[in-house]
Amino acid sequence: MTILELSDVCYTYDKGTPMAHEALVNINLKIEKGLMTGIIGHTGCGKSTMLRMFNGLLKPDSGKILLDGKDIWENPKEISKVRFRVGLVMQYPEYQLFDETVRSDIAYGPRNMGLDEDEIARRVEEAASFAGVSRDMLDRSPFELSGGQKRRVAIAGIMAMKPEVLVLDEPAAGLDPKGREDIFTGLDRYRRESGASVIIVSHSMEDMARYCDRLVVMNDGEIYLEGTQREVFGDAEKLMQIGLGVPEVTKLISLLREGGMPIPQEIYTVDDAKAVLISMLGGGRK
Amino acid sequence: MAEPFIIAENLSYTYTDDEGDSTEALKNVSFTVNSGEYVAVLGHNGSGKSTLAKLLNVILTPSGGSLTVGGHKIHADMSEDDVFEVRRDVGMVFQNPDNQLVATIVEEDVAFGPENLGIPRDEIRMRVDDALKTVGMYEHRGAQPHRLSGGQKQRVAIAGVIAMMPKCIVFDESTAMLDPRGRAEVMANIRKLNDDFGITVLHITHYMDEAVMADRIIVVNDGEIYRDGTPKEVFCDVEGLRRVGLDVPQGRELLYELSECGIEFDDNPIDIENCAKLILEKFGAQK
Repeated sequence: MTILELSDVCYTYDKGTPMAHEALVNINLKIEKGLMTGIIGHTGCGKSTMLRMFNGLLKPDSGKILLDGKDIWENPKEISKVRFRVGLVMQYPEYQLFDETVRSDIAYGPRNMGLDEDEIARRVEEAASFAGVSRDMLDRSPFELSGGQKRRVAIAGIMAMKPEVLVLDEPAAGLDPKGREDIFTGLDRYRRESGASVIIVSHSMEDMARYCDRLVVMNDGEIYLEGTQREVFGDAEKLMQIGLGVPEVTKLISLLREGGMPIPQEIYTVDDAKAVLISMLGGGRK
Repeated sequence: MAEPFIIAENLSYTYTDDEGDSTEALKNVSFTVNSGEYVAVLGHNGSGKSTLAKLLNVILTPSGGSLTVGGHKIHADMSEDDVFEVRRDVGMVFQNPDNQLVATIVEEDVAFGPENLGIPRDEIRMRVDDALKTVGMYEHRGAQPHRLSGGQKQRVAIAGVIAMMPKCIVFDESTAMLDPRGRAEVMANIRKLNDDFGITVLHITHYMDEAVMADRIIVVNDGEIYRDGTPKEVFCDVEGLRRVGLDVPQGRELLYELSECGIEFDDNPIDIENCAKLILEKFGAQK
């Protein structure tokens, strides 16, 4: 089922001036409900513009954005309601923390929704747990926390609004491997347990392969490739043409095939490679 | 024998906050980096890597032990001239390209460093042109920095450092905010500065595939040196690295996971070519 749909969406910055720049060119895209969708592409390819379309921060020059089948711009006065339903976590969101305690910072969104205090408290606790913010952090100042912890607080602040679609622009940028994994596993758990759809932008093909159900590759304001992992990573050549690639382990599998090993090419994670190789090499003792 | 450029002996650094609480960011760390070496520094967020970088450039001074950089002992009472010399010898490139470009035109930005060193005008012109050519940004010399991509901005920042002709460059997560193309551009430049100009490189990073490109890796954990060796030696210990919040390249990870399941290999390569070779040998031997 489709939760979010972009239909013939176009957007040009500084339209009508000599600086005009076509950021989105006739975008048609369907985001499936309850899945994790990954968006990949170089700086300037239109990703961030598209993310701002999802929750109505930008209005398309032409075309429609449908949330659960309804045009979000049908009644522009109601657009703020869309922003509660589609939560956007921007890049380096930790710079947006402002409140005295972690608890009140996370509560900011739900409070603006006009919820009662009991419900707000419940949501703060729940969101903190999903994002990996421990209870003892809740009454501390967000400014005492480490970069990775602040990042998680900022994500919890959006989760607390219980958006149907959670959109994150490079949520793991600048974090160490353990920090990256904590963010992604938290998002995965949030998606499974809340039933929300999650959309993430990342430059790491390895992370995309591990966590995303569907992938969208953008280039020069257009959808370049889109589909399941197999549909996208299956076209390594097309990805390489725009300076992107497939996960390391998938390249390794290609080398094994070139070396004459009858191994399927559709392997994108170390876990999958391990399972197939164990069956072919006859291990499995431990 | 190569000359040591950085010598740290029992080096410590302690941060003290407004309330008087102190945190030991580096604890009795000892290591040597020779002139012309390319060393990657790995460690989780908050492990002490960046503190180390700041000490090398006298942004901070040691709380204990000793640190010598390019023959200068780093301490709180250094003369201004000595601090100046160390900063000329050790260039730094930081994470966010937008925070380190100062001028409105690319070539003026690159000239900023040498101008402050009091270098004659003609030589500045030459150094700026050479530096921009080295990083492949010469044709953009008249551009406005804010119109460049992230990778291009970082290359301009690198050119600004090269134009000061340092002996050593510290890259403090200089690729963290870049897209794959930008990262590849910057990595190619780091390699080139080390290979062609013999500049000593310290590259602090969270990307294991970048660390693999170094001659040597130092892993910092909770203010101490956890591992120090070639990439192959360091990535051999998959369990240990995971324990300190790090990762290994995927080829190495796969071989390790297979060996855990009883499929043993004679070697621990880290590049996919050699990993594939070992798996193919194993497969061939089985038939």
